[in-house]
Amino acid sequence: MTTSPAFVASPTIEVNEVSKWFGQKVAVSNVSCSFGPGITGLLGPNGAGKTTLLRMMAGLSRPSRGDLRVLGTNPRRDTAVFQKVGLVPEDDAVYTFLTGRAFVEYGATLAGVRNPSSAAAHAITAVGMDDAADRNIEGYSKGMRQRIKVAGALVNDPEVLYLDEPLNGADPVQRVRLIELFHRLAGEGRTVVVSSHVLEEVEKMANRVIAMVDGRLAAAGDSAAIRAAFTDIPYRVRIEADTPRQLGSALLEQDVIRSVEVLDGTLHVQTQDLGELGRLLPGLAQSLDIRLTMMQPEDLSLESVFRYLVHGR
Amino acid sequence: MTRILAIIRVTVYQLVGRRRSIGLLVLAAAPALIMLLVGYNTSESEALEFFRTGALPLVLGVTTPIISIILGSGSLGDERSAKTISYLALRPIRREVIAAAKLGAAWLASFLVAGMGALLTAAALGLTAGSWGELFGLMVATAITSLGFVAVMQVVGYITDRAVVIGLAYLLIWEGIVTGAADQVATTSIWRMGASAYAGIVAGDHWGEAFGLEAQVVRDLRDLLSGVAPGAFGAAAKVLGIAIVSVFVLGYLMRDRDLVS
Repeated sequence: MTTSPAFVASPTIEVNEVSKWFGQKVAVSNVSCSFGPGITGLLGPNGAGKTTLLRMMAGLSRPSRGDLRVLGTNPRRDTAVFQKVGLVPEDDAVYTFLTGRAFVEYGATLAGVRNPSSAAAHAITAVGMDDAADRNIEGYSKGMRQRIKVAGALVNDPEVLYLDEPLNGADPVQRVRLIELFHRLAGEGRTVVVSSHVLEEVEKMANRVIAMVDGRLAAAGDSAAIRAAFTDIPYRVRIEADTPRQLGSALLEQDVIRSVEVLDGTLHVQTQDLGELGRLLPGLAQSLDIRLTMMQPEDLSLESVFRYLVHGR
Repeated sequence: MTRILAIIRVTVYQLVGRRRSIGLLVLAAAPALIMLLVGYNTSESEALEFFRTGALPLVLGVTTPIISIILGSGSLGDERSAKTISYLALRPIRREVIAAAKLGAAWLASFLVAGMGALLTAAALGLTAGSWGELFGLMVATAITSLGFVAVMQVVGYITDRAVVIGLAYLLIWEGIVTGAADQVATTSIWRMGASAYAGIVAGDHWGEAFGLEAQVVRDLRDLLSGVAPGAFGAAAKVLGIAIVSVFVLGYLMRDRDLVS
């Protein structure tokens, strides 16, 4: 048994050296990991390969190389596995001419559920869509469409649930309810894989995270470990003040500062603890009677953070 | 069976429950309007001759193929472009069953629209020339033609987003020009399969065949058939063969190719 954080002891989904390319473009490169009961977050910036990996795991697309097993079987070959699988795709993949109830019932019928009407009603209640279930999906908001997709994925009572950006379009109240629902499903022993590019979102849902960037596995482990890895990254911060050189000298004496540079009258500071810098800077400026006009991280995008994790730059 | 019926129901609704069905119905009714105009201004025999040489090729060679190309391309093509295919495909159903249900739905939708046009065209002949004997033959021919085109176009629609353009080019070049000019390949023409079924049904058990004589309808359609032998069963067998191949090819493609891009 491996001790790598990318693998779990009792996997329901196994990804072995999987790659996927589209012509010259490599979307997923030699990824190996596994997923088990509970919620696992698949985290990464847009274009990292999360959706491609999720689609391969769901059986929607075929790996160009490597092997993939879901509940011990290849989802591309054995359609019976779909009895136990549910997917909420990122796309707006709904039949807009159907009512929400008809949409979910259709899914139940296709899945061979014994009593489609009852199963659909149960799934609709679980996502809090009872009031709007008999309206055409065409008139739904983005958040409602998202919830009806979740109901459509839950209707066959899946053991494995794939959620691709499931909170897109949901308002704060709906977000909380959906997250509670996902936690409940995971608590029942299901494998829930949530793909998202928002770290805070994943942290709320998943206790285990697999981070991807540029099609490769960037990091894996529990949410706290991933967050800790993020805080070790040096950030560049742009500070504008009336006397930048004086402020720069004072900042250099602080432990959290790695380097200071003044370019065209603007201070560029590198720090390892963005939060601490934010806390100490106003007090420091005040004590030196310096007027601060701006403090802005130069590159705080998730893409840059992930790139640093992978490439060290 | 419940699953197949569910797929058929949703697909038919998806294909003909839209605004485009109005345009397709107008297209389907065009030959009937022409037949009505011609029928009122000519003798009964001239009206019947026009029906066989003018309205019939318009129904079987133009309107039914166009309707079938559009609806056949859309049956799985629409699901792929709208990404709803994941909702359909990630279910414990064999790919061939999905393909067969989709084909059945697209055929039904196509026949609902094209068949309406055929019915109106035959009715226009009946009203103007008093000849109602062509109705059954034309309906069967329309069903056969639409099945053939839908079966081919469902595969094309799954593979490419430009299926309708490809289908129309195929209709013009292969079905319209090549198979009309070369008798050797005329048997591959889908609309002529429909026409041969019509000719076979209308000719019926023509007594003159025993003496080597052709039925009038076969003489009327000789140029259109381009050497294809009249016969409903042969035509039906051919399009059924195309439909079966289509189902298995689609089943293979759905397994082998990515369902979403």
